[in-house]
Amino acid sequence: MSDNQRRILEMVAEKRLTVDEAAKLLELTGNPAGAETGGTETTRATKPVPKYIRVVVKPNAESGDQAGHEHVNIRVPLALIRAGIKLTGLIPAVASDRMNEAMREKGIDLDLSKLNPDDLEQLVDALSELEVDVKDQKESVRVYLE
Amino acid sequence: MMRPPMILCLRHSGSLMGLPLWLPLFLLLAPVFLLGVLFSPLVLIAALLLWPVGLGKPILLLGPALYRIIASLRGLEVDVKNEKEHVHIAFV
Repeated sequence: MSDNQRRILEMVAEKRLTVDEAAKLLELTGNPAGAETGGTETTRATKPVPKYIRVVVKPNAESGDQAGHEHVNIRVPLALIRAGIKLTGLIPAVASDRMNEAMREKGIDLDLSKLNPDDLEQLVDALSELEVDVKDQKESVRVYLE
Repeated sequence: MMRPPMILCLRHSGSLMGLPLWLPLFLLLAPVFLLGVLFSPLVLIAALLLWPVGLGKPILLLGPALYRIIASLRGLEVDVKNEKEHVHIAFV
């Protein structure tokens, strides 16, 4: 078992990931089939490391009526997300507890003290091939790493 | 070593006839560095005084963390447009 797989399982044990999410990540990180085929590691090594997360929202061309719709195109450096997560490590425990409590009241069960850049690194590594593409009648939303 | 963004590009279709405004952020580097040097003794004293309360370490590390965040802004782009307006912000 690789370190990545072990960490994902630990995150499941800590209830920071659902079983479905973990299964997807495990498929991406440590697929034994990749070792059998022998090509996965080489392909991953030659792929450029993603530096940005791109969010694109645009009106659906098929809807025809584009009045009142906005085109949104945002590129956020992953380094900014990493820096933000590192900044949460500087939040004093008292303030962190109060923030967690306030977020829990709003239905967000997230413990800021448990976030760390290593987890993000592994998630980014695992999600580099993932693309979110949501379309409805009016708009389409696309999120991907580049 | 991460370099902070040098230029901030702003464009708004409603102002300046839609021409982009290039703000030279690199001109702020020297004054900010000077301010940092001037205030560093005060930060050290504050960190020492607040160490027993547990705030010393966060105060000491806040400067580098803020620098890291500002430096990470390089490459950030926001582009929003509708039929009336177009706003573009980019850290270069």
